Amino acid sequence: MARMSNFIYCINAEKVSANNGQFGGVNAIGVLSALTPEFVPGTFSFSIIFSILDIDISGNNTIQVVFLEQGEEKVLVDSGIITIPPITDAIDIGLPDEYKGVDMSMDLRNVIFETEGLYNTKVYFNGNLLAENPIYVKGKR
Amino acid sequence: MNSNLVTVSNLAESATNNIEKKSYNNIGVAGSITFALFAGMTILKCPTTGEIVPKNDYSKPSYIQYIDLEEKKGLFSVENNKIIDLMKVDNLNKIKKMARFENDWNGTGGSAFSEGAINLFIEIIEMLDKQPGIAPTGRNSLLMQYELDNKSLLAFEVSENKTEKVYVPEGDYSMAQMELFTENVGFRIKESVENFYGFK
Amino acid sequence: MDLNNITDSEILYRVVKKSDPDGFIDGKPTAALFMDKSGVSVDRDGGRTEEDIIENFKWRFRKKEDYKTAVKISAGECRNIETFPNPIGNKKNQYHAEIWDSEDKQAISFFKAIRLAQLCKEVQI
Repeated sequence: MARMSNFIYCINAEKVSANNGQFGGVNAIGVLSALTPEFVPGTFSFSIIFSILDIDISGNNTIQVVFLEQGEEKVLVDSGIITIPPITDAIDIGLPDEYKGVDMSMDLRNVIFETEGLYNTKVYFNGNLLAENPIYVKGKR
Repeated sequence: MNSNLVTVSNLAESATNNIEKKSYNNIGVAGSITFALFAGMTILKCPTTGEIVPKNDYSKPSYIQYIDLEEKKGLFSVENNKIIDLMKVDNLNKIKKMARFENDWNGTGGSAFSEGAINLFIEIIEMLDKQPGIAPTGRNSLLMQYELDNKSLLAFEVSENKTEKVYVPEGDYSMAQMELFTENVGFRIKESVENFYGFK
Repeated sequence: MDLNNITDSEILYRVVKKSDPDGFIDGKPTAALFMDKSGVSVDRDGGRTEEDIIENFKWRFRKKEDYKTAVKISAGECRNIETFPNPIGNKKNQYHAEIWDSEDKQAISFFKAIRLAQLCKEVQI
């Protein structure tokens, strides 16, 4: 059953190429334990990186990322439902199925924060809420 | 906080980091340990500008234990999973939808997109590590756009035969710079984006 | 309403249809909304209230329920960035107007389209 792993908030998700020119990876640049725009209200850009394991990547899957203030209904960022096409050329080194999956990254740019407080990223996989990851937002000044 | 990466040393003996020193002098021991840990976690960002501190300006605090991955080994280990850039997937899906637009798709005479234009858009999106926000225009071109928190804007109008670039520093339109590309469009865009984000 | 002249204070409204995806990025209108092959079609307010204007849009696109939202900008703001609000009108719609790049050139340049996007606001109805 699909599960999330490695959820990280960071300043930038840097894509890297593997040495053999095949699948690359992603570096988390500037890991964040809180989001700190200069001012609140203000805007802030950041990235998220996460892995979804124990999934079948040979078929279509969907992912949706929603970012909102904890406890509020107003959504700040909604990726919409993104269809991930089948991945048929993955290198198989014989990992157990429950540890096979995909790493994903996403930039959330110019997010407008009107108040300080706890915010949440919800990740939906194939229509089901997979995980929620809160983070505190506080203006620097 | 990731406890795998942080070890708290004896601050009195090994306080070589400036932030750590200041904190230890000004507040009580328990408070200084907490503050030093937090300072360590945010040390990658300059406290006033918010910019990422370049590698050679960064003095490693003594109380944080780093696990250095030899680059080669590190990259071999990422072959196990496929990395997906969700924005890239979303952009490619949008372009595939655009390929199915018919004339007057926007109700104001917008032209259908030519095969050559669609292929060019896909090629450019595939090349970019940092994905733009995109929007189709009514004149067989694609808007690609980046904006920073300081209101700096980098935008491209990509057509089959030419690409126009506009750069606006910090929201100041009087200082806008414009450029026209007709060759190596993908590379020129990629280079502009890398400069815009300071990757180069 | 003067059919031959658009005053600076008059507001120009540009429809965004549901079938016209991605006219917004990060919740803000984009230059793509103002990038057509020729002049950009808008409706001038002609002294009408905003509610009446939006109701008219919704009625015009009622068949496919295609009205999504609208963006607005004043004629004065258009002139300040050297675009040309043109009171063209047509047989079906006296409020029809177009924003041109200049008096002699219809298709709006990329830079001016970016300026228009920066200045316009989404209608909140």
